[in-house]
Amino acid sequence: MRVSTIGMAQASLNTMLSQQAVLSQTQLQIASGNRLLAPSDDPYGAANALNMEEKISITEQYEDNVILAKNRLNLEEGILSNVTLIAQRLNELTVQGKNDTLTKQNRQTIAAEVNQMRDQLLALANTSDSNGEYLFAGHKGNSKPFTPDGAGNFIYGGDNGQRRIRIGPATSLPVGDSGNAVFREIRTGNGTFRASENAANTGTGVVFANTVVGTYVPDNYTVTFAAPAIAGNPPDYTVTDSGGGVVTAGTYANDSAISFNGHQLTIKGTPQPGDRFLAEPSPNQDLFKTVQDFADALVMDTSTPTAKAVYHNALTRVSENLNLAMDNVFEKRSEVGARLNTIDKQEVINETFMVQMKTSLSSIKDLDYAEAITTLNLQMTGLQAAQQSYSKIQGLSLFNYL
Amino acid sequence: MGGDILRVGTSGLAAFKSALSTVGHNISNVNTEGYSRQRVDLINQPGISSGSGFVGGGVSAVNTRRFYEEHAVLQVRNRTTTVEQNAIYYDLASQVDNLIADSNTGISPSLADFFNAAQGVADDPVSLPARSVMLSEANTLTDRFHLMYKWVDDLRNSTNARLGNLVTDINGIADSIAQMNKDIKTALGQGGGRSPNDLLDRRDDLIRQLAEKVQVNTVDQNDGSLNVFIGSGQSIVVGTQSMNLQTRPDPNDTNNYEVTYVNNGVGSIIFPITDSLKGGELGGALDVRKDIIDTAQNHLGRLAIGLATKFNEIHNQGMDLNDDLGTDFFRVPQSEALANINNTGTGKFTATITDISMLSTADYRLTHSTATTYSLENLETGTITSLNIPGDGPPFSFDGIDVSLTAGTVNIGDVFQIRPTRNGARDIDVLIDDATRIAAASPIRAETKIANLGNGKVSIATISDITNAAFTTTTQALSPPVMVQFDNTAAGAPLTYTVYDNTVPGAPVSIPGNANIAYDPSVGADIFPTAAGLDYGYRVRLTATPRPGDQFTFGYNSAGISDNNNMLVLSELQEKAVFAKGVATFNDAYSKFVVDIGHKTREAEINRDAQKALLHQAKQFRDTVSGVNLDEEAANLMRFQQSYAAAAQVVSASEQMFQTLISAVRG
Repeated sequence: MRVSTIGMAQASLNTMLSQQAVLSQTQLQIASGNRLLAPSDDPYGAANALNMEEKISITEQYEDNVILAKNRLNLEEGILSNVTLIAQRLNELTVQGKNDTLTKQNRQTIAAEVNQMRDQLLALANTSDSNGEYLFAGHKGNSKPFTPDGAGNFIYGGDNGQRRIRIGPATSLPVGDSGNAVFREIRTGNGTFRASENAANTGTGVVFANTVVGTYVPDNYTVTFAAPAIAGNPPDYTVTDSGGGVVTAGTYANDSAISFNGHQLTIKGTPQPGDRFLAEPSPNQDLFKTVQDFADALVMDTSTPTAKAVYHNALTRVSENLNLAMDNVFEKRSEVGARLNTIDKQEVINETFMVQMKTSLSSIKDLDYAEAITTLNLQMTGLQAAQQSYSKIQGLSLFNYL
Repeated sequence: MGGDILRVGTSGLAAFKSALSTVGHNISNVNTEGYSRQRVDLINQPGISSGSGFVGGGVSAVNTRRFYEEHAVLQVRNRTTTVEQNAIYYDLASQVDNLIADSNTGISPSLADFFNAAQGVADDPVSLPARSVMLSEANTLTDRFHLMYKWVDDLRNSTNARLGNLVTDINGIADSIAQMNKDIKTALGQGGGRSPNDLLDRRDDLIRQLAEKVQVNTVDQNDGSLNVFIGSGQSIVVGTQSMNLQTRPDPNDTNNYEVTYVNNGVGSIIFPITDSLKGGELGGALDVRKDIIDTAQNHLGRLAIGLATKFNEIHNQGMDLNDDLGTDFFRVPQSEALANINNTGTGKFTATITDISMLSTADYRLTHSTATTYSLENLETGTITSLNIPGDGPPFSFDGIDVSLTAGTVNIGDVFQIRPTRNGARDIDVLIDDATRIAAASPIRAETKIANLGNGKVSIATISDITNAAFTTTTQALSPPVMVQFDNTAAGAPLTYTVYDNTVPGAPVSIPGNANIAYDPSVGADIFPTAAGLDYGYRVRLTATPRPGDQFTFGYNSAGISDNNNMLVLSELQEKAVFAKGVATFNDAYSKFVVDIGHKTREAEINRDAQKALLHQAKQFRDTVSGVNLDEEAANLMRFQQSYAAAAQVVSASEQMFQTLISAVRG
């Protein structure tokens, strides 16, 4: 086959140029550490890389979210644990308070401590974080959660809101509880119904709301004591519902159960005819009111047996309510603990996912240096060979011999 | 007799001298592009009858032949066209390709940072720094959109300029070819039909240069001239006449240039020939404009419009730190419906996007084709649909867009170019500049009253229609706030509830038609819309078991600054499949765009390299026939030098013979 002079030169030149081009590409890859210099090098790989980078970015954000969530939950846990300590102390004091050998002085000392603890509880409930946001105000972060109104009540300035934070794909959890949930949604009595004495009672009956036995029929029931048929016997009692219908009746026996419609009450002491006791579905009462009731009870007059009965009734109510409040705080603390657990598990999941994604991304984007450097050497050798052979062949011409 | 030898000798001298010049010509043109080597044809002269038979008359150089293979030249020309087409396509496309996946200029990382900042606000809605970061990331994102748009737009402008330059070059070459045709005709006449080799070579090279610019076809004429056609048959050289081209703004889309003939003043209509110009640098540039530039701006625009629209939808359903309802976070870019500048009617259309999930990245052309129909062409797929008046419109709906006639009348033949997403990336902007106005909270507070005896729970309210009068009548309030109270049914009787207007909290007013609604604790209830049709623009669910007398209220979320419900929904938008009928998220749409451009760029690169290899082969083949080989010419040089010397010897011998004769006669 006949070759022309410029044809030969052009062919060698083209080979050198294309070898230079691939060499330059390899060199760029090595210098940048990227296998992909432009999406067109591997379009689907580039698209996959974009998706993985997005997932990595989101997961990094979840990691940030997790830190914030843990901080907030740990703060809440700390406060709740302090609340528990105070409540436990108050519980001890109620037991002390029920001791009849206490003097008025003793009770005043206890009352002073109770008042102090009420203020501590208020301060804990009104805690704000580093932003100045109240922890227990629900969504109303700038509104002080609890303010005493001076008449023994505590006004809640927050709402029911609970903030959720995303900690993983399709996983979010609450990072707080509202003041309502922790301090106010606390049932009284035994949680289902509560018993109380009528203020006009003249006897010394103290009522305990024991348990729910059988089918509970919610209603406001009144236990009314009447004079016994036979003088000298204990009084008779009638239990009526809110419509006035008689539910049950019987003769009073000290410290024994009065049962009706799922309720089982126990009354101790000596009720007089005309005395009334009320059993109603338990409303909610906040912790501070309970503590306030305790403080108020401690300074009551207990000179007469009737007054003593009123005192003991009041303390019984306080005990019941305090126990339920402690149960509620305990429940909330368990929830916080469970959330922290979930976060820990999610952290591991997130981390594992990150490692997987980063590995996959690296396999797409990152250069295999060993392979690239080998290729570089080969290409360099090829280019050198082409260059040397070109210069040798160009020198050959018949004109040299003319 | 001697004279015969002299004549024979000199014929050799003349012929070999010719041959030597031709060899010299070849050697001089060894590096000339497109040169075909030449060789002198030598034929022997017929002899004259004599007593000793026919005595030969020497040699004659009858023709200088050009070594030329038509097929080879055609191959080189065609492959040159393809190589240039793919080369320019690759060069321009790779500019966009490099831009879109770079982490400093690409949209994807900036989008991720923006949504991460949104999560940052969800984590801590009261924090002003977190909000400021979100605003700043939003601005970075819109800046990236603007930057990309501008890059691609600059590419469009430079491509238009390139078209202008190419057309000028083509005109120049066409004029030269026409002149060459004239020269060749003249030379043929002068040379008595012998081919003017060098002129032919020059003309071939001009055609090859033209082939770099655009696809070329030629037709030989009998008189030696060549008619030249470009594209799919547009003539630019006929005989000795050349037709010139020009560029001008496309009447459908004045951002683009089209190519037409120069109006030579005969008063005829100028038809654009852009669509039939394929191949070469011109064809490649036109392809890039459609495949890459238009596509890139449309893809980016759709992403911007989708983001702005969907984000605003959710943002408007929220409440900001000032207790105000959220307003538009982004400016939503508008779509375009451009009237062709040659339209005779006065009609103006407006295009609005109604459904992001159906939105494509195509441009459309709407023509009022007959009195009862419009014709709609999808410029990306080429599909043409016929729309009936008034059955299908106007207003027309297709692919998530509504196109309505907003002014004037449309005449038959009027054309409109509809570009739903073209300017999206240019026009998107952040409208909020005050961090307190980011609407992170829900506007509704749904509360369970603490005095309730039952355990009924009310869910978080979701907004179904933020334009409902309940939200719009009074600012920072629901009109009216609502209370649901369970009626005092007897124990054991089924639960029912009544819906109250709670505008005066101490004195709720029962809303007529919405009293004593049955409630089944095992199933719960979606309170709105009520059976009587009461609907305040939100949805809320009641579950578990309330007791008679229990109350649930729904009011405005005043002072609810720690609420992050709306921001949670906003941040989750990142992973919602917003495009392609519910299949693609924002990042998916962007990835698809990257693949699209990457693919096209890669294809162009591969084709260019493959065609280059084929071009080299074609050139080799042509050079085998027409190329000069210096060694061969050197050998020929030696050969003809010797021949010349030998012929000179013949002349010298003839002269010696004459001298001998003269001396013999002189005695």
